Amino acid sequence: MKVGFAVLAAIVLACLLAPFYASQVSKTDPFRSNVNGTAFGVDVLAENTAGLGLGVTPIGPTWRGPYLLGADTQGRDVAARLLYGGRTSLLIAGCATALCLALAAILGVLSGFVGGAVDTVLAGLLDLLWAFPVYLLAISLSIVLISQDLRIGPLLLTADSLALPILILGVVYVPYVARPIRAQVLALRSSEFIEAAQATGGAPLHILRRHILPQIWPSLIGFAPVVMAMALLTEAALSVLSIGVQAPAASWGTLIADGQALIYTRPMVAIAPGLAVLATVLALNVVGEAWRAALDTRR
Amino acid sequence: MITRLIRSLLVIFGISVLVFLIFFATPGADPAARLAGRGASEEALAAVRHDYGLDRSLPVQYGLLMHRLFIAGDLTSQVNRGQRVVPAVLRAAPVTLSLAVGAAVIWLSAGLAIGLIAAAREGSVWDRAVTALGLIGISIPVFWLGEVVNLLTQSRLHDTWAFRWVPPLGYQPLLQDPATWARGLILPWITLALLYAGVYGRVLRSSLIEAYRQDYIRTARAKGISEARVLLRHALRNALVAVLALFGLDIGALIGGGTLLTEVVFGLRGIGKLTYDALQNLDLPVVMAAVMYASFFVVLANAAVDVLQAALDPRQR
Repeated sequence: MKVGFAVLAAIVLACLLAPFYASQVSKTDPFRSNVNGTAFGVDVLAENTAGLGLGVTPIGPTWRGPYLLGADTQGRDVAARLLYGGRTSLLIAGCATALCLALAAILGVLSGFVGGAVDTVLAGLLDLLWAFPVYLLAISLSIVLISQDLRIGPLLLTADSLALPILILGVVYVPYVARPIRAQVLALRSSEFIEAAQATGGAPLHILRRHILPQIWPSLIGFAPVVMAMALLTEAALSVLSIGVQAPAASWGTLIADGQALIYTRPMVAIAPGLAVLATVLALNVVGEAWRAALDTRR
Repeated sequence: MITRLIRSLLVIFGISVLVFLIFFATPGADPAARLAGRGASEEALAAVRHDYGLDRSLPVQYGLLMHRLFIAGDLTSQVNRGQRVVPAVLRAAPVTLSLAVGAAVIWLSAGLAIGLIAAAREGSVWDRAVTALGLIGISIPVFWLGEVVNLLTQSRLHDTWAFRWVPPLGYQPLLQDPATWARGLILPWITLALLYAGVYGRVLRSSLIEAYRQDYIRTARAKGISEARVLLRHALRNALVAVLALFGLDIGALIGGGTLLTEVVFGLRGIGKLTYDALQNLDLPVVMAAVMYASFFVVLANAAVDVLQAALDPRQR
């Protein structure tokens, strides 16, 4: 668990330092193409000489200073873009996780605590969403939301807004968390200490706040790393499908997609962001695993 | 059995309504403008409004769409004018099925093998390796893994003895020549199976260990049954129930996400690649049809897993 947290902290810190890296080390703007640039006396983009001589080959990893991991097809520093992409990916996954947990807590507690018709409708809806494959749901929502700018009242959501992937990823994993929360609330509601609290005249809101929410809290937090891990992977998948983060913004997913065209000539362009996703998601899963194990022994 | 069937039908109906509402009733923009694509002319918008009955009530629109998707099959692409979507989806289905079924066979057998080994050697290096493999498997972006596999087998190591047999990317039909079919799919299968094999091994391991602690195993041994028979007939049968439950869940992730990205990275022209191309062009009718058919397939596959589970586990009948 400590290792997981350490890896996460290191990755977050590195991504936060992205502007510093871009200005001090790579010394080029990672969001502007640098077609005619040079580094260490070599052109950043070299004309192809092999085959038909079409297109360009970007500079490979220099392993020192500028273009540490090479350049992409537009001559932009891959290492700097990796750090900026990490900011976007982590921001989206983090916000989506918070949104997902908040929605799931509200729906799960409402459904389990109020019961009756409310529970029937909400539980049915959650079951339906649960049966709907996450990726297909995310694809449907994304393609609809990015195909036209969205105007809801005074609010304008453009297709390249980061709010869209946050919204979509926040919604699709709600049943994953809300269903177990609901089950837990249901179990608690019929437990003896709640009956005792009711018998001594405790008001429903008081029982909810004093007796139910404190029990829900640890399991809700326990879902955070797992949901964030899934959100990161799904963000990468959607961005690869071109319906996630939209240019000019970059995320680890869009960087993997950018690198696909260069996979045989400059593999580092795609490998580096993939490794970043792998390391972050693995660390999150390790932390989540440890948290769950800790919860299990406590019970 | 009947209740299961009714439930599956209800879920299919619910999902179709949900997809319909997402595409036709999401607030914020005119559905005709969405379906016609960016920068469509007035005439194109009017044609879309007429085709999908957008000036009529939502239930009528839903009925019309279902009719066009599943009965008439005359939904057409907005980008490649005149291309019928439903036949294209059905033509692509064998590719997706080949990929999904083959990968599932590999990861279930691999999961079975490593689960048995890990359970037999509880606490050993093997055991911990299975745990690590499971964690790594669920943490890898599948598209990226496919790219790395391509990099090694198509380029960097292609001229070594290990990967000289790897054919260029693409799909060869099964009925033409099963051998080339399998040769082209083996790396996509392994790529997908890598993501799941570890998790399945782990689940099988914990439920086997759990099963061996139960009284009925002691009873079986006391009856003098051979150790192999205790494992196969009693412990494994019980442990497979948990594996199947997981499999029912993963089919959705597989058909909707796993195969989609794997098809794209390995150039297999299945439903996933069809969806991908439609996403690049914002071709909404194609995306809608692909999502609808894929979800239905997932619900059917889930129902099949349910039936299998009931066959294995009398408590669920």
